[in-house]
Formats: sequence, structure tokens, C-alpha cells
Amino acid sequence: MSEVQCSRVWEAEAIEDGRLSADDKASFERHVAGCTHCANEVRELARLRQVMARIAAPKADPLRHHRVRTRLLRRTGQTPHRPIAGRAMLGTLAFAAAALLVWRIATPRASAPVASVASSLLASPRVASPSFEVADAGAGAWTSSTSGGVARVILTSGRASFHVFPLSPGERFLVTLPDGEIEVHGTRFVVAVEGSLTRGVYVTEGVVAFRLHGQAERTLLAGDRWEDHAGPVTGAEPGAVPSANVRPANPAVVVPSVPAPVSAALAVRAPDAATGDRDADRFDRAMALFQSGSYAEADALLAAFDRQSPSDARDEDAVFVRAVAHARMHDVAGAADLAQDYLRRFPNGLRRKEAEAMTSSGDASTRSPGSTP
Amino acid sequence: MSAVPARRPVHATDPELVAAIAAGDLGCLGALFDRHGEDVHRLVARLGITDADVDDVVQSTFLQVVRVAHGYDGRPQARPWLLGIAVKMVQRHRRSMARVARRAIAWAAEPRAANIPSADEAFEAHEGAARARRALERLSSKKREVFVLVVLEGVRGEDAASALGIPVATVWTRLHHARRELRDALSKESS
Repeated sequence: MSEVQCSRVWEAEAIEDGRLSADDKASFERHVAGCTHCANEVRELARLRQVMARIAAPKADPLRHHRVRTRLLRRTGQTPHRPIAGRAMLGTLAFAAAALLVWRIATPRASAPVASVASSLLASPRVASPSFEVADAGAGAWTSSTSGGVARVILTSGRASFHVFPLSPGERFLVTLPDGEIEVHGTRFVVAVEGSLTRGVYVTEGVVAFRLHGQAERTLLAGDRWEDHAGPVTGAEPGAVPSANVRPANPAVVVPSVPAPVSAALAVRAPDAATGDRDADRFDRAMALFQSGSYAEADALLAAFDRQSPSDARDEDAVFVRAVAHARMHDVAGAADLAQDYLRRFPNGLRRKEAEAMTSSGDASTRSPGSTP
Repeated sequence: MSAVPARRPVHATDPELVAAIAAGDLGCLGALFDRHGEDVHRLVARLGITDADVDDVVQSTFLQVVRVAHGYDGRPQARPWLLGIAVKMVQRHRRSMARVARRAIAWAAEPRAANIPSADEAFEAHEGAARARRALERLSSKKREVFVLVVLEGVRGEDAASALGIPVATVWTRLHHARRELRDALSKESS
């Protein structure tokens, strides 16, 4: 025999669904205080909700999201993410900036006002440019240029310290060295160049991707030092790095001269030996950053993961996600290069088709000198 | 409604994106997908579509958006509208799969293979979660759609009714029966 039901028990479900008005809700809640049947029903409904919420929410990983997105846009004949409004203004600004930069490149170490004009144009809401400071850390000689969202400093000799403010999506900051290149995503570091060789890199903040010609990319984290074994080098200590409190009013401005650094030998530290237990969750952190849209940071961590754990089963994903991250940062050429790297290393990889598509899109036309590593 | 969003797609509102898509600017489809693709994926998976087919159904949902964008009612959040389209795509997928399954069974004259646990299921360590999943799978499609939309995805009953093309009273009725069946199934499993 079933127990006698309260006539108001249906209101328990109505409350659960948000169907009751505030007055009715308050009335029922008073009723529940004295009705065990209704109180039990409220508890049971809440319990059911909690039990059902235990079902793991299926989640699309970034790779899957990217794959579906790519197919979707391909079906509709679109290419990923392009600003739609203000394209005309964008083109005008880009043309003006390019004209100024051509002039600037033709006159190395040009005066600050030129850079300022270019920067102010490039710093418009539509065309962001990296903000950075370069300081002489000992006979440093360099030139700099900015094209679109890509800033490049060419360090030809001596030592220079860099402070790169966190980059926005689509921005890149590169240091061209006689024998390689450095890419950063918001950090402080010192580089020493002697003759045609890079002799030392010292990172005080953030992450640096350091590439020497013919060698695998090294990832240097805060506190890491790299020294060329060919000979002793005197480098700059962190004190020579531009202060974080003096962010220039003008982005992308080159600070000409800062007091010379304290000379000290750069300690040798193989990048491979760095980090140890930091690798354990690097991949997960990178994927979380990727999902949150922090593509530059995700890229840096994935590069570190790739370097430190090349035999990890997730390495294939790491390499591919790096390519996707660069694509999301509008670095088509960089994405194509990474996709090519993926195809070379994982010829039968699961993302082969997507990587091939990215490679071909990079080859199409968008490879620009300013963004080619 | 303007034909194109006044801002970059990533900053445009849902109505602006849908309006731009309706006007033929399919570049905004990527932004809409980035914003809501995850929710659509989760809903489609929760409605029982096998993992191998989820991506196809998600893609169909957004392709359908292109076709029906002109009918968007301008509500500030497109999520309930998109989830409604996704439910219809799931229904369509089920119908086509049912046809394929019938043909296959008739041709092979043998029962379909038992469900092989997916990787997610294998990792679903909690027994309670497994019981809940089994109970949800036993619901009819109509009750499951309403339960997933309203209880698990938090869509308002009125929006679920609009998405499913049924009166809101039917939503509450189906939800009531879904809850009763779920409670029965869970109590039987635990006893």
C-alpha cells in the first residue's frame, strides 16, 4: 500500500525547474518545513540532479575543435579568423607602416622619432605591435624593425639586454642572431654575440625559444643560461635588463643606451638538464593555456615539452598544437613551418591531413620576410 | 540588423554574428563555432551520439546555422538556439542511423555488436557516474533531450520548448517522466 501523498508535492519539481513565482516558492518552502513527504521529495530531486551531474561532461579537446572548425570553414569556403570590419583601414595602415619601415630599414639605427611614428601607426587598435625595450649591455649593435605584429631585432655584435612585454595574440618578437634566432613571448633576457657566433643567452623572466642554425630548438626558462662552449664569454647579469617599471610610453621603442652591465661569466647550463619535474604537467598546462586562448604561452610550453619529452606519446599532439597555436596567432608562415616539421617527424601521424592543409596555406602567399624564422 | 558586425568577429555579440552569417558573411561562422562549439559538442555527446559521429553532427549543426540564420529571433545569447538546432541534427542523425542499422541488420541477419565501452567510460571510475550514464541511456530520446537540455545544460524550459518545437507544458511533462524513470532505474541498480 502506498503512503499518502501530499497534494503539494508537485511543487518540489516546479521549484527545481524554476517554475514557481517568488511568493509561491516562499510558501512552499514554509510548507516543506512541516511536511516530511514534500521535504523528502525535495531531497530526492536534489539527489537525482547531483547523481546525474556526475556523468562526465564530454569535452572536445583543442585538436578536435580545430579539426571540426577547419572542416566546417572549408565546407563553407572560408579561411579561419579574419577581421571583417575595417579591412580597408587595416590595409591603409599596413601600407603606411610598410612605407615607413622601408625607409627605416634603408637607414639602420634610424632616429627614435621614425620608430615612434611607425609605432604609433602600428599601435592602433587594428594593428598591434610588440612592446619591447633593448638596452646596450656591452658594445651591443643592433637594428630593429616592426612589420605588422612582428617585431624583429637584428643583433650583429656585442651584448644587449631585452625586455619584451607580454605579447598579444598575433604578435611575435624575434631576435635575429648571426647564427640563429630567438623568439620570446614576454620576458627579459640578455644575449651576447661575438663575431659570427652567439656566445651566451641568459633568461631572467619568462620563456625563450632559442634556435641555432642546424640545431634543434632550445627552450630556456627563467633562470636558465646557455653558453657557447667554444670560449668564455662575459655577459650581463639581470641588473642590466631594463626595469619593468619604466615601460616606455611609446611601444616598440628602442632604448639606446643603458649603463654597462656588471661583467660576469655566464654559467654553463645545458637546457636539456633544466626543469626536471616541471615537465610532468607541462603538457597539461600548455593545453589549458591553449584552451584559454593564451596561444603564445601554450606554444612556449609545448616547445619545452617537445624538447624535453620527445618520446612521450603526447609529443605528436604537442607539435601539431604548436602549429595550430601559431595559426591562431595569425602567424601563417610559422604555422606552416611547424606543420612541415610535424609531417617530417610523424609521416603517418593522425593530424597528417590537417598539417598538409596548413603547410599548403602557408606556402600560398602569406609567408613574409618579417615572420619567417 | 547590420549585415556585418561592427567589431571583429571575436568581439561581436551573438546576434551580430548570426546576422552577419545570415547576410552571407560566413567568416563569422568560425567565431560562432569558437564560442559555442564546445557546448554543442557536449550536448551532442550527452544525447547519446557515438563518439565517432559527434564531430559530424556538430559540423552539421553549424552548417544548418548558415541555412536558418535569417530566422534568428535576435535574442542576446545564441546558445539555446544553437542547442535546439543541435537537438534537431541529433534527431536527424538518429533517423538516418536507424535506417542504416535496419538495412545492415537485414543484410547481415545478425544482431549488432554489444556496445564497446569508450575510452571515456573506461576512465569513468566512479560507479555512481556509470549508473547514472546507464540510466540516462535507457530514457527515450524525447525524454532524454528534455532532461539533458534543461537539467544538465541549464536551458530554460521556455527555450527548450522553442528549440524542440513543442509546448512548454510538454517539456515539463517529459521532464517529470524522465525524472521518475531515472529515479526508478537508479534505485533498481542500487538495490
